[in-house]
Amino acid sequence: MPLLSVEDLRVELATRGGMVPVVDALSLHVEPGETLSIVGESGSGKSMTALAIMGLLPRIGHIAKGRILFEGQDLTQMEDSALRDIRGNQIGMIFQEPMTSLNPVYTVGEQIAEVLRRHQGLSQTDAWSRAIELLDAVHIPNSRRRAATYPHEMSGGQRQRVMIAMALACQPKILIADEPTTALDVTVQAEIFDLMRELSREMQTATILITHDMGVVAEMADRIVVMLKGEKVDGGRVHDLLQNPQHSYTKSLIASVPHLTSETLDTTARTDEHDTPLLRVRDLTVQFPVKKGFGKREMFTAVNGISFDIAKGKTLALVGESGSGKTTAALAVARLVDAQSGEITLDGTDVLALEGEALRRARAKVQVIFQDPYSSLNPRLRAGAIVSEPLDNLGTYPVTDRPARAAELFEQVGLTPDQMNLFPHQFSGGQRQRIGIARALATNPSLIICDEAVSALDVIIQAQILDLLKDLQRDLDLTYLFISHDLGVVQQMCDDVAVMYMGDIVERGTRNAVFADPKQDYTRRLLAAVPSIERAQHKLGLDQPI
Amino acid sequence: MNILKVLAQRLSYALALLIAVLVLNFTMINLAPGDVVDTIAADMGGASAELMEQIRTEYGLDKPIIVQLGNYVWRVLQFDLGHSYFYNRPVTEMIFERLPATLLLVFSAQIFALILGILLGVFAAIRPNGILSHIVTLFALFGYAAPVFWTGILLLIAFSLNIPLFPVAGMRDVTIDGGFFPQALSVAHHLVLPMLSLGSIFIALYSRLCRASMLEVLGSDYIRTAKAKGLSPRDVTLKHGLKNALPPVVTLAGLQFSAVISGAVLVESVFSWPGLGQLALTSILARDTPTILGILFFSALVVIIGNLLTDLALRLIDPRIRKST
Repeated sequence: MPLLSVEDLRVELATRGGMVPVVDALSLHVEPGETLSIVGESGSGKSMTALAIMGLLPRIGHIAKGRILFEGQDLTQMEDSALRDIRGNQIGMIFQEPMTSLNPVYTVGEQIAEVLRRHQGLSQTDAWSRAIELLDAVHIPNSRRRAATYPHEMSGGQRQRVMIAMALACQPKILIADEPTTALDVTVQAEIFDLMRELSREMQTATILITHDMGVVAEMADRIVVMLKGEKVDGGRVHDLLQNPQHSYTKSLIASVPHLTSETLDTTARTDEHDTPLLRVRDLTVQFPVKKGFGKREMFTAVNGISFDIAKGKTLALVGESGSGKTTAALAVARLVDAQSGEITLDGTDVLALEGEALRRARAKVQVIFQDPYSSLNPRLRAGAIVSEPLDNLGTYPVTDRPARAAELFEQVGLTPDQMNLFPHQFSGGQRQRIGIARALATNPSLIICDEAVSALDVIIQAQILDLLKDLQRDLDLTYLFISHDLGVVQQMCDDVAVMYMGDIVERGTRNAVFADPKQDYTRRLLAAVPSIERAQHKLGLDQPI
Repeated sequence: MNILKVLAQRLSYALALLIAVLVLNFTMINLAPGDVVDTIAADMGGASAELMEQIRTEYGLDKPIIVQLGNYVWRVLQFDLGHSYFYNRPVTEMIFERLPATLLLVFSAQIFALILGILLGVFAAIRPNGILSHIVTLFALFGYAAPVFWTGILLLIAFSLNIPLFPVAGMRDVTIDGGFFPQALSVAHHLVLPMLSLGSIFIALYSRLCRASMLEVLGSDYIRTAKAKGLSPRDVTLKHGLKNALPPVVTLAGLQFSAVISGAVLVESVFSWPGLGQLALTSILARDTPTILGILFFSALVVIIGNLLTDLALRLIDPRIRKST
């Protein structure tokens, strides 16, 4: 008998348009101790499935059909109080957002101890000492002292470790992990996965790992279920599926995983022209004042004297983890934050010397595509107005030509001019990012900064947007400064790469040089942390490439 | 930063604020036409110009405003609020007689409004579309719209004519003698109606904010985490929800301290509650500047202490505030 089996599950959400199924005819099962991965993009119903198993569907959702059997008991028919005895005890769950999933007003020790008191009836002091042991188990140093700290005093990775300690406190039979590392840096992701593997082996816990990343699946899972629009489209053992995917969607998911090995790299050498670069940055330093106690101020150095060039028509990627200073450096180039010292020359102009009206005019030359297509467009403006606004403010286009220019931009980014009358919320995420690109193109900028421009998008949409950016670069001879934490994306997009770490550029070179033959330890660690299908297959003893 | 340092810092701000309040109050009162001598003359049935001048000299009212101000601030700094022209008694003595009554009314109304407002808000938030939720919204609307003295008069009529359950005037029954407990019981009995009418507006205010704040908190990720731990609905709502929903409510309550005090002035008149409010009213009518200034000074003091308590309460609730300030 499987530990957990979901049979013909249908979950519906109540919306204004009536009941909408978000999961339909889904069947899956989990055997003791194994790792089952549910893969799909946002809206595929994978998180709803997890919440349905936990009995934590949002108020507007309900299970319309099907059974969820845990050790033979149907969870959908169970009393609330009986279900609560299972939640957090037999089935634990960790979530995507470690920043917001812990309660900010209680110490982490208390939040772990609470589970033990609830399910194992431990006393206050016993629960606390067990919580400290659990913090040790998830490798948090100084656990005795750290137990008494609050979530905001911990990093994202540490908070996720606390979540794991909490979910595994009662040694559950199943751990459900919903995108547990999506919000974390790639090196932290690798550590968290190592920890999950170690603990689930120790405790004989089965894992349901929900993710959108086939690379993660390849490294973590035994079996896999692929979901698309609420339904299961593919499934099976991982190595079978990777070698022989049935559904076209599974194939495209596998294809979207970066191949970071040197053999798969395009080795046609790109010539490195050494004529005057379009953008030349020398010794750029950016500092922020940080308040330290009463009246004391200290300077925090976000960017520490970095230098780089970008040739016209090329793409330079600034790669690094959160806090490495990559975004700050780019914003300093766009004069959106102030640099303390250094030189920035764009097309022969001293960017840091610009002031007032000259600076405002110069903004037409550098445009930014932002990360979040949901929040970076003004929800009260129509799409056409968003794209033509820079023309009104900065462009040299005569008033009468502006609508035509906006329509032309819409076509360039793969939208149609009749969509100009719609509001941002009427577009999908990918389409919104296209609007963001059209807006950035409006003033014919010589440099476009892409600040994590595809990070918020699903992998398949991501590939489409990257293609669009490449096409535009070729057609319009654009120059990109490409900020990203995602090495797979960087590898597809860039000519040159600069790796940033704690405000410094630690390694700089052509794409092939950095990816195939990294010189610095940090770069090597970064590359090794990226989940990859090849490495997983190597581990499984499979040789045929897919 | 440790709590003592914060307290010292806040107290030094408070002192500066108090002096500023003193100067402002004094200037504003003196900008208004008329003084106590006019009132005395009127009470006497008229007086000659010479006599009025003589009284003014006696009270020091003939000196330039700036000198009067300097003298006043200097005396207050020595804890002397002066002498009432009208009652012919030290102001401090009169205020200390009445301050406890006002403090009792203000704090009990504030605490009553907070407790009831938070309870109503929490229950309304648990079922945002339930009957109670709508009742709270309706009640809040009523509370906003109805002036405190109007509610007071309604209660007064209802309880004096129809349901003689609570006394409608005064602070204690003079016929009762005996120890502390019968006395206290009598005061509590008298307190019910003034507290209700003063608290009503604020219940409305707090319950609405608490409902909104709870609704936001109950939708957050850590509430989902708490449910995933298998905690009971009560623990999820009260332990994990309420503590996070409190800061906006406590902040508002702190800001409302001054409004509660000014509401108390009206309520005290309606229910003949022997507090500062009544004294304020009579001394304003009598143009008794030292008494008015003294009352204003103590009101400011109560507001500052109220805000200080709010600050401390917030630090107690939210560890992130402890770190940042």
